[in-house]
Amino acid sequence: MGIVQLTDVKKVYPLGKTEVQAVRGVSFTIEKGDFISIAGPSGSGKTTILNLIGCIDTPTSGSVRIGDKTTGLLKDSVLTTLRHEALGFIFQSFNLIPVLNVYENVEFPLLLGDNKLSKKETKEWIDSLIEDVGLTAWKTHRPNELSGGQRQRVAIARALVTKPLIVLADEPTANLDSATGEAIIELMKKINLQSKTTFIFSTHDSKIVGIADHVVRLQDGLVTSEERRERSHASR
Amino acid sequence: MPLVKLAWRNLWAHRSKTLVIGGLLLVAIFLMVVGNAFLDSAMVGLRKSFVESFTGEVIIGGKAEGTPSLFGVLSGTGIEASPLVPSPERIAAYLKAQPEVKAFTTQVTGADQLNVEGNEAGGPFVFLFGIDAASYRSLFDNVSLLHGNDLTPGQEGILLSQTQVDRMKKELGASVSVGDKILLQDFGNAIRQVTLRGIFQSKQSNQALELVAYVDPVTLRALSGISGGSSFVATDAASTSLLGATQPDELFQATSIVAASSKPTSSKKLAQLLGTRTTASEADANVWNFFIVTLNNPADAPRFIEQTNAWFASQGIPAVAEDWQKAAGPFAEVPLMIRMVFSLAVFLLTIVALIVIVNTLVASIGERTSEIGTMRALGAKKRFVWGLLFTETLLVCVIFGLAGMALASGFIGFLGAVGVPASNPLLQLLFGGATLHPAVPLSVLVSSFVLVVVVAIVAHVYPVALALRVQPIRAVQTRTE
Repeated sequence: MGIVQLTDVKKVYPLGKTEVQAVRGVSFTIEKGDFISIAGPSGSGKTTILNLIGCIDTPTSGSVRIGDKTTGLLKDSVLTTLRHEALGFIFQSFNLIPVLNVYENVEFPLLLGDNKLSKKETKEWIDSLIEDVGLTAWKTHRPNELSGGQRQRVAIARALVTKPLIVLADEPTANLDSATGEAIIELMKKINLQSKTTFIFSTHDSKIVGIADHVVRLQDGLVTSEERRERSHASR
Repeated sequence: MPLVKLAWRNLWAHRSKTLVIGGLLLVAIFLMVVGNAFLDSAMVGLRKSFVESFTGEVIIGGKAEGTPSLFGVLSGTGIEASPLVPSPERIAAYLKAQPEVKAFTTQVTGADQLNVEGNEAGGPFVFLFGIDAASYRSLFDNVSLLHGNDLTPGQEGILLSQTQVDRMKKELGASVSVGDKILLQDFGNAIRQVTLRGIFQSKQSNQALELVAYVDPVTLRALSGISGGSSFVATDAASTSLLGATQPDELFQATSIVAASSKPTSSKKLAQLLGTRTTASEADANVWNFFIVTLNNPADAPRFIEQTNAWFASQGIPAVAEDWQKAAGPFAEVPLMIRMVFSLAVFLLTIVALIVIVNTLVASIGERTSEIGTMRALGAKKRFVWGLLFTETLLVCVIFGLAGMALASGFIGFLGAVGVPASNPLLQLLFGGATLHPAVPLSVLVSSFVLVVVVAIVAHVYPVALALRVQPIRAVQTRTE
């Protein structure tokens, strides 16, 4: 059984008097440690799939299972706990908290639950994450003092701070230039290999898709192909 | 990082909104503290002025339809005559037995016009306090005699204030001095002649005192038609028929006595006739409108009043004990009404402040939808979002509320040091004296702080309800940093 399992998932959004079928019956499984790309053109349903896996949206029908939990059956408070404990998020627009500096943004998810680490351990852990994403020199800077790539690195560190099973990244390179985007994906891949954290990212950039070891391609809300590659040579 | 720090950063990041909310609160709290400090200080002065001058802490009077005061019963139609206090002997015995009671005296009350012989027109209006000269001054050392002497027990006479003497000069053209005869004329045209024994000046500046003249109780009882009648014995049929009159002045309207004269009866003749009433008046020596009580501890007054009224009820005595404000009657009502108006204004200001704060917070929530959605996506429970927004609101309210309180305290402290002069009689009445030295009582600061917290709690409810509806998916639907 995979760490994430989607079974005949459909998602319909109301749009005025009509309905939009964003996802029209999608099924696939993600294994622990996967570095998976949900690929497809705009409007293919990538973001909807990520939102459903990230427990920030629920399917109209079908089921989304994270570990042993079927998300559609859970209450809001349980979903919140699941998001906090099992999932990390990297947003296309970074979504850093503007009033917090780099260190504080990375620390923020730890404030939302029971942090079992001591103060010293917490500081060492956050510092190590900031170092991993190459922002040690910037850790007291606020988001508005950082470049797009730097902001996304902060978002990566923040996504990892709670040691989640899965990190979800919705078009993490969309707002970055291609070189920076590739560097961000390389960084995510490196962390994936080191920590065995499952990374699920959506993209429409074929160059970035190439780095994934598991690719699910979507078109008009349906899976058009699914491809698994050798994990060991994922890095270019 | 603690929630307070995050809340503080958010407030700083949204400085303009913070200043709008905070500024409004600051002004509201400033006005509230200053206004309440003024009113409280005025009430303290007013209370001191009245309690130490003539009301004591407690008055006891007969039950009436309206509210008894030392100036008469306040009713919907104006001021009416006060009823007699029932069972005065039992009440006196009760008061003597109460350890809280420091001293007490008795009083007859009337309202009449001052006049002089030969003047048919009415003179200046005056409240007459018929006092028990033996006990009254030991309670109220409230006048300085400019001329003559104080009233003495058993002696007829009147004390007028210098203001009243001046008004008689102005309105009647009559210069009166100690030893002169003063005519007291009530509104039912009863007239008594009384000797001016002294001219005084009030020790405290109090508009009410300027309207009071002290008179011997026998004269006032006769003038007001007050009679206990307990030991007056009619000796013949003519006298007995006269006793059927409900007002002493009916005695003089009766045809058998004065109607034979076709000319208007002069006040002098009436005064001579009234001399025959002395015996009857002496029979009413223990007939009073009020007991006036001072307590060892003024703070005991509410409890003592409650206890005394309970005793009246248990004894079936139709009397009522009231506090100094009721005793002061219309003179304490103006400040109380001003306080009510001010309280209403503060209430309205609070409502306006609440509306502005709520609107500003709602706008702020609208701008922070993505931020809130991101927090929710990252695992923030609704409780966290609520805590953050409440902390922000509370911080604004407390910081600006305390600033408003500090500014107001400084302002009042300055005014307290220099004093605020009362430039007219109304202000003198409001201030309870010629100068007000306002101070900020702790209770005003505490109540202001409580109001600030209540405003924070009430103001945050609706915006937070909106914030808690923000779904985590909003994090990916809007752009942020």
